[in-house]
Amino acid sequence: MSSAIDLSPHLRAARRTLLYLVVGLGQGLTYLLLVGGGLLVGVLLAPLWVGLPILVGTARLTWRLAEGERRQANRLLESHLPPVPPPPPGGGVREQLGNRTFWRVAGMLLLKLPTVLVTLALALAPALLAVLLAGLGISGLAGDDGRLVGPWALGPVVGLVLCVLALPATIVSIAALEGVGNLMCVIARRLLRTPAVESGPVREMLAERLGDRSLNIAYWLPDREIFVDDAGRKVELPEAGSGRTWTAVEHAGVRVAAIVHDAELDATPELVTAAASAAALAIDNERLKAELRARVEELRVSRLRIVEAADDARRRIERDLHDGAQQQLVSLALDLRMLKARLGDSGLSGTVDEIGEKLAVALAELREFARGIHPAFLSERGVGAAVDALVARAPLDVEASVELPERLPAPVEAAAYFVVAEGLTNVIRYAQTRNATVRVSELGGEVVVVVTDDGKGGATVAGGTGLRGLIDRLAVLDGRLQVHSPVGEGTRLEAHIPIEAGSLVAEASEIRAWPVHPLPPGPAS
Amino acid sequence: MAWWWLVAASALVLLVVAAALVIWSARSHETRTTPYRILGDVTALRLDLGDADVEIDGGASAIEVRRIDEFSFGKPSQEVRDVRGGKVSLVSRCPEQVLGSCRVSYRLTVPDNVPLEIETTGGSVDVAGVRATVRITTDAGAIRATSFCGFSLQAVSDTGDVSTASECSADRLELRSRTGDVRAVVPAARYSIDAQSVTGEVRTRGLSSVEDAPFQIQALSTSGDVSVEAS
Repeated sequence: MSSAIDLSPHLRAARRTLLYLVVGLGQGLTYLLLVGGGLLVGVLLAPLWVGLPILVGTARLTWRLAEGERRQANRLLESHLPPVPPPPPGGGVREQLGNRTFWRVAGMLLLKLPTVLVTLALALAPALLAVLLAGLGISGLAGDDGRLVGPWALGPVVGLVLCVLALPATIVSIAALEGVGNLMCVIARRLLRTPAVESGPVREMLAERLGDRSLNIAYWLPDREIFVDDAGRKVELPEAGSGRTWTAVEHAGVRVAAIVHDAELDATPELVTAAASAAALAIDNERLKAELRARVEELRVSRLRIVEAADDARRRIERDLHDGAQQQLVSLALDLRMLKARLGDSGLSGTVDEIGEKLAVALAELREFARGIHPAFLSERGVGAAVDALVARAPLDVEASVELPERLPAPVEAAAYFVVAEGLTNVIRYAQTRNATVRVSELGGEVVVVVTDDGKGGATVAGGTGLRGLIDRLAVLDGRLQVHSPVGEGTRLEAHIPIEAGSLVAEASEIRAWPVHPLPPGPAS
Repeated sequence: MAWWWLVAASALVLLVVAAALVIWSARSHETRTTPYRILGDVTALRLDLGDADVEIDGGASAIEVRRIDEFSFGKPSQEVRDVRGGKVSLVSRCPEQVLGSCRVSYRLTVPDNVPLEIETTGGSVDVAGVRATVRITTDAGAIRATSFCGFSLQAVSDTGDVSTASECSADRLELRSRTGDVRAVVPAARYSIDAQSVTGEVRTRGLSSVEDAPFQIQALSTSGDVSVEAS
């Protein structure tokens, strides 16, 4: 019979209804005492003013209890009710009690105990009959014990008949419980339904319908063959045995998303599929938004990639200059010294010296130019060494402190370095002081770079292209630059670059590691 | 859909079976009255009647029994009669039924000076005008004795009420109930009275207990009220 008729959903519904009713006994009594008692005491004491706060408190409690009741109905009766709205703002009795929804909700709570008692009696009557028939039947099968069933002695034959009759009684008891569950579901829907969240986001609606608050939707991007969340960030679908599973959502025969939910979800797979199908169009719309966000996200990452590529190019130019032109100039200087030695006191040594000095100046300028493009120290030894080199060359008294536990991603190191370089350059050019401090540290998931001086102040971002360029560079990394420079009180340049998990830099590192994502197979259902 | 067809078929089977049994039970329901007389020299009468109610009237010249049986499915109560040394014993029981009905009641008339011993489980005992020693024990049935004028009366019930009204002063009245009320109405005389209740109310009206009295009344209840009154 079970092969022809699937009993499991009916058994599950009956079990849930029984649980709802049994638990409901205690809950109904609690509701009656708290809500009914609170309202009664409040009304009785209202003339003494003490009753008004009691009424307001009871009303607030009623809303919260109703929300719990709604969740229970969703979980056990699959009533798919949207959340009950929070208590209305305001502490007045009229605000709290003066709407029909409140009284409808309170009615549900107050009627719970009598409703559960009646329906429990209705539902359990056939179940008790089934147990009685089965018990008598087994007793009869064991042998004649002298009892009579109508005109017959309770023996093996009558026992067998009673056992056979216990089967339809069991079926009727399951159906009765299921029917009572449907009845309670209808009552809950009529009394607890509010228009609050029905028009809310698809995720919220599905979470409420399926009774899984941890539910998420992963949107499928067919072009990139990845799933992304509603913020456009890539997500991985849960693997079997992880406690989470997913259900594919298709719209017009095309996969649009996957609903990621608890593997032990109370709702049946069929219910998840049905809910997903019902929301497929809305999910597809959300998917388009997620795709747009994913493109924006990709744009941000690609901008970072451009900066990285530019930094790489600068690094290559610096290396080429260092290994090529710079080395040739050094070699030329050595040749000049050898030429001067050969010429001796021929009168041309002065000319050679002049050429040598010009060569030395050109070499120094070339070195400075190369450093400006990209300091080799930065790539090789990190921010600390690069800042030390900057400080050593600066004609200032600089107090520098670099406290970083480890090397940072290259774009972050470059940005931090250029903030320090630009800051010190500005001190040298405009601050009219010789004192400056530099501090580079990691704080709260950010790299913080601070350059201060005690100069004349008055610096503005609009004042030059240097700070503007820094702001653009930092913006690529989702960083920010603050300039605090009151006239006569020095300048404080402070840059923040986020590097914690979830930041653009971290995501970019992950994205670079993304493989081409194949369409995963569906979970075992 | 197939499931609901199965449910409908199951419910139909149960309904048909239940309806058939109800109709059969109603059609086979029967009330049968069996009168008979116990002849000879009877020295004592013992009744063990289970759930049957019994009414006994004294002052007759012979023991006459009227048994009224109500039953269905053709299964009346079973009665066993026994006579040994002048002591008559009647034992009656309904069959143990899971389905069906059986109810029996007795009406007896007894001559004076025939000691009675009555025992029931759920049946009530009503004794009127009996002039003999009587001993009554019930589990849940009520005990009522009116116009009693015997040597002693012992009436013990577990949950039923015990009520007696004596025409003459019995040497000993022993009336007890665990949860039921106990009430005794006796002619004015000198009695040694022991009337107690653990949680119920105890009332004695028109009588006072005398230690060396010729007549004894013991009226006890655990949770019921106790009342001893002069008539």
